[in-house]
Amino acid sequence: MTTLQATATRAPEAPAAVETGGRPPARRYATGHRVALSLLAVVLAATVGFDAATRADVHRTQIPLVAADHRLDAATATLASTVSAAVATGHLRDQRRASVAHARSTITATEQQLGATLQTSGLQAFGIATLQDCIGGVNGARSAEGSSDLPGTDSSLTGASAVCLSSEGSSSGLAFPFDFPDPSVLSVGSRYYAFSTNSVTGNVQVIESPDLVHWTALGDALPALPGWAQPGRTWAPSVLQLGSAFVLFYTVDLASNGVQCISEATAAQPQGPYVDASGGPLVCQLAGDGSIDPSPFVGADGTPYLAWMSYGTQGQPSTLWSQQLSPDGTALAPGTAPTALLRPSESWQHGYIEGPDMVLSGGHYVLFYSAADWRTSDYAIGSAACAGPLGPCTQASGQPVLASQGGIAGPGGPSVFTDASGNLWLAFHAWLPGYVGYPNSRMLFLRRITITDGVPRIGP
Amino acid sequence: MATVLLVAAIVVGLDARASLRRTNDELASTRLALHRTSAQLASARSHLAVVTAASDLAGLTLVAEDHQLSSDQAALDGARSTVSTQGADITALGRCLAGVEQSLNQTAAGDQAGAAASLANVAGDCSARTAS
Repeated sequence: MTTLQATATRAPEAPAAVETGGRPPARRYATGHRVALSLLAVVLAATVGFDAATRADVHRTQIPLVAADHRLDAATATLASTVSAAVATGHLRDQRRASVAHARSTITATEQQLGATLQTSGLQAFGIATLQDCIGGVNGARSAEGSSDLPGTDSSLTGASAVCLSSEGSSSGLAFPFDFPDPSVLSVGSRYYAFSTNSVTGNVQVIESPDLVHWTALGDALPALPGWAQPGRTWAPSVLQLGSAFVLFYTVDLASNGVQCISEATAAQPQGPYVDASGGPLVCQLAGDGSIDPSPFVGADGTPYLAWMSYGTQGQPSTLWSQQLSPDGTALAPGTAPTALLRPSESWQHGYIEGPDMVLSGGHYVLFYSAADWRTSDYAIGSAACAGPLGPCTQASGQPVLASQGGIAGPGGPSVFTDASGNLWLAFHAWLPGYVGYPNSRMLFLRRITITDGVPRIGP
Repeated sequence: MATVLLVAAIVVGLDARASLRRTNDELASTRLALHRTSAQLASARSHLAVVTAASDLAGLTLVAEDHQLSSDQAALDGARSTVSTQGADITALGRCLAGVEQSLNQTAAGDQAGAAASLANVAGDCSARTAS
């Protein structure tokens, strides 16, 4: 400003170069110069003022900017912490959800185990009740037996049969869960009759069934023995039906010397009572220490035959025999002689075979038999292919057709029969695993069997 | 000289204007950032609230499931104990049945002494009772 004023003061002193319009040029110049300076000053002042105002605006603007920056910083920090907290909480949530999922999975598994365990417990409770009922029935039979109350024994066994079957399980073919050795089954009309070695209900046990499932103990099929026989050792009964007559063959001891022989008795109905009117045994190979296990059968031409076993003595093996019977089945056919069918030849037979049962199926004769020691789980059932009712027979294979397996031990006493529908069945006795040997029971089992081209196959 | 001053003033003024424009731009930018950050913060807080609620719910569910699991495991332990006890009872009753059957067979064979001995051997087993 001081410079401008000095400049303005010096202007009038400049010499006038041109005279125009009544004023000298120097003066006009000075005047214009002053005006210009004044304008310039105004502009400058305005500029300075505007600049100052602008700077003031800048200053005013920077205040909210700083505040906004602070707020932004604070908001950013809060956002960061919030996001961090959300992430951490998310992790916690995920962990809890994972724990929940794991807990639920464990609960599901636990509840499945609980369900299975409760089911097992329920089955066990039922099994315990069944066992107790079975034990009660067997105890009742024992008491009745001790009192010589055979009807009471029959009734108790029949009543307990179903529950004892439930407790023992019938999947292995168990049909009658009491002592029923050397069984044979006869199909007559719509009924089935099974006979067995002497035991709980008498000399020849007989039970009856309409369906091979439910069995009723009928008592003793042979209530009286002939005078020449020794009581208490009547074994392996088997019945032949010829027309309306029934002939029972059975093993019995001679009272005179205890040698085992075979006798026969007749009845008008399959369950008996059978009457043995003989004066002596039908078959008795005294030279071979006796004969046991009779089993009648009918050949392809309708001729009846009897198969049996003789003990070996003095180094001779046991032998299975066959001989023709008279047409009424009560005697050996005149003019015939026993024919040897089979002797032990396989290692699994342990040098001993017994219990023959000849079957004619599809034109093939198949001989079933038991082998080895009946008191052990080595006892088993074998088969042989026979050319005819009198043999010769050839061992079928190097293995038994039925040996100890799940649910049965020491199977033996085979008896093949045909049911009302034409199906073949194998009846046999067996111990229960873990309960082998007398005084445990050899129980009655039934299994389906097929014979194809003379080769038997026994169902599970 | 005046011209110089004027030019300087103008330059300074222009600079001030530029500074003001920049400051205004910064302010606008900052306000926009603040707005966005505030929106993000609100969203984050909302998300946090949701996550927290879910976490709390999961926690409560976990407690309930733990209780259920404890209850089931206790029931399972009890059932297993019952099964074990009943299994022992069944084993004993199986021996009992075998003994009674032996006794029956011996009675049928006239072996009264053997029958009595068989019964005596399983007397303890025959006293087994169901736990239920």
